[in-house]
Amino acid sequence: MVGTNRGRADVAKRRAESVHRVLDFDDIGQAVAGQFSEQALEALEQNPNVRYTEADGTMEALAQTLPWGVDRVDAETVHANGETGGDNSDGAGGADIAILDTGIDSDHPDLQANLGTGRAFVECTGGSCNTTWDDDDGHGTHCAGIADARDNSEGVVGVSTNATLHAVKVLDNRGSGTFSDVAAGIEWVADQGYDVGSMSLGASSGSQTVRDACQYAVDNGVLLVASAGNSGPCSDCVGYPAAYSTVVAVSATNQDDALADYSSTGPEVEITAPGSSIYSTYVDGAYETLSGTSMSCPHVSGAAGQLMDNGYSNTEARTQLTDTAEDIGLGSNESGSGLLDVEAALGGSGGGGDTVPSVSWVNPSDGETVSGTVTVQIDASDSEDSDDSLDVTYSVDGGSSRSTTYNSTSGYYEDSLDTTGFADGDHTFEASVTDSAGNTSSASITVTMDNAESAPTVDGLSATEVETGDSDAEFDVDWGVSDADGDLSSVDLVLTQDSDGSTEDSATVNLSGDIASGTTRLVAAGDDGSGNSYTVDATVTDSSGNTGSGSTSTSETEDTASAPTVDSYTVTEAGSPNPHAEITADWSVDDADSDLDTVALEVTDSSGSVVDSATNDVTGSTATGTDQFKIKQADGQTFDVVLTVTDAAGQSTSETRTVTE
Amino acid sequence: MTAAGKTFPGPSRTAAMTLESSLVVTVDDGVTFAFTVDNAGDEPRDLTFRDGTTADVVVSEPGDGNGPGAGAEVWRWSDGRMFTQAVRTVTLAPGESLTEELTWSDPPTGTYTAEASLAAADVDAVAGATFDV
Repeated sequence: MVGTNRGRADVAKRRAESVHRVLDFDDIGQAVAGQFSEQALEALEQNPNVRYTEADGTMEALAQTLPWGVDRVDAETVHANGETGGDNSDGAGGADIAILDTGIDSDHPDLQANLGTGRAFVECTGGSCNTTWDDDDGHGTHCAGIADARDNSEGVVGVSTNATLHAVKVLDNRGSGTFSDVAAGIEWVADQGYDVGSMSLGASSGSQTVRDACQYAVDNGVLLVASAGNSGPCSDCVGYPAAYSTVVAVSATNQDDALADYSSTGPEVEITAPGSSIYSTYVDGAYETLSGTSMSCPHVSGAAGQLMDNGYSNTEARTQLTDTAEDIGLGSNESGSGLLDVEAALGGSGGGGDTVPSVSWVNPSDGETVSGTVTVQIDASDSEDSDDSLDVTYSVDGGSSRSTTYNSTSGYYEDSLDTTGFADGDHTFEASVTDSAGNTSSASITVTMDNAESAPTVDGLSATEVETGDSDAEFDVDWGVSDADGDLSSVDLVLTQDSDGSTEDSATVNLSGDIASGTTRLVAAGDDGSGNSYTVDATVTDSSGNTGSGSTSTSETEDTASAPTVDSYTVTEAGSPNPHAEITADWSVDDADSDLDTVALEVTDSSGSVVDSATNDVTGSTATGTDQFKIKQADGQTFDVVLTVTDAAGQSTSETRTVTE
Repeated sequence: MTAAGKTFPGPSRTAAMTLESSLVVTVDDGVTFAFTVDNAGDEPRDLTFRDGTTADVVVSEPGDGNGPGAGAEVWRWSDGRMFTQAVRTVTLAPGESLTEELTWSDPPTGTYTAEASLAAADVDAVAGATFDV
């Protein structure tokens, strides 16, 4: 541990090989607990921001670390359910896991209680060889701790925690061993009847002897697991014995679930597991962080021990491991079936304690009637998995599975379902949920679909009389229609006279799409000037035959069109010396609706008596004429000349001019 | 080296800037190759090994005089061996050296050339020697 001045833990963290914990004591300063090289400690002691360095002796003995790899493969979850690899779940004794490696530290406090019979095929050299199979390198002890370190109050915890470990020393103190020694170790494991042979070793070329030894072991019920190799980045480069079909080849991932850059890949890779920066047991009772496919291999070996303690045979366990591996998006040559998932692997066995997830329908609800597009909402939860991590699907009438997306706002798994693709009537909706352990449950409801409710509608309808010159009553009908499911077919318009119920006119307009509008003229023949009331009915139809309707009223207000008008009218007296009045009237008349009838003129004297008159028959829209009147003995008198123009409907307009003889 | 053995110190070759490599071949009952890599620079050197292989030796028949190592390969230390698959990093301080002793236990009589190489990634440290059995 390194104590630093306040806020200066960074100077120690930069020099640490790994950091376990950073403590902050405010004004007192900070402390960094971690692993430091001698050089780093010497340099830190010279740093003015460093207050002290000291060994972290008791801290490690008081707490157990959950290594990230054991956590990532969810082994701690099965531990919580009592699965240890040595709990004798199948009643046939705990699992026996052989570590074919540099040996195992024979008195490591985190391993010792799990150690069974060992065997050495190469010599242990050095001062710490308490047994022939003791570890004079550290590598084998590290792998053993990943597979099966004790679940206790110190150090680390393995994938299995109580299986029996067998050290098979086939590698020397520099991590190397001959094909013959490795083959002899495999043969011995087979002859002992152990469950798992973990081989964190490899070579770029194979050996018929090693190959035959592997076949022999598998035939005798051993599940063999080996490192894919550290030749990466490379393709089709899996080493031996991992490349043999009798052996489970394991590639390695890092903490980002990415393939470790050193990991070999190839078609022989069967599964992947954490391999980078793995903290585990080491020689002399210590702990170390190492990286490699050597570290990924024993994760799988420990999981295999868990399965075989549950009664799986070597071949059944191999299938179960790959069947339940988690897809983390790597290629099959990189990760085989995916990332080791111990919880899922054990989920299917009788001893697995993973609870079944629950699922229920939020929308639609049982018995509900729906139409158009429906937002499907499903509530799903699980004791072990987070609520947003479940696989939730649903189907209609047992059809194809439909996926959902977790909506963090609503808290439900949602989808948008267009019900117009289904027949109206009752349908069975079934929701299914699967958790990461592979447990599933489902919930079914009955939903009625009624897409008649999405029939087209008449949104707007109005009729306006149009003034025309003919004798018909004419109406412009403005209409607007729409259809939610977008299959408009036609709109029918009918003009009915209210008083006698007779149909005066009708029209059909063909449509398509989801919205339409237009103006259509309907005519009540011969009804001009009738003053009748009418009803316009609109019926819109979609291609499914669904209809919608609307109605509006209107009336004929044209009173035989307009009255005629007098455009010009001049009256003159000749002014001759005789005593007679000689009056000339020039006129021009006009009628907008073109039914001029007569133009009448009357001459009246000052007493109001009509002294002369004239009538002109006229037709059409305009007429022009001249009328002359001679009034005898009218010397000095004043006369009114009245022009009255009348149309066929009897409407008239008059104008008067006054002249004096 | 043993008193009974013959020693063939090979020529030192400087490789990879600050690393100096040398190979000493000792012939006794078998042949022992002592391959040493020395950090001759002023800075620490990190050597990264992909697996348990630290160094390898290739023994060949002598060339025909047209160039070194031109003869057929007779023996390679790593042939027939398997290795741990953990990545290792070894730091050589300035002046510090690393020696790997590799043994050829049953050599046929003859004259050979040997070339030793460091297995560290991104480092080209090799040394050679000629010897008789």
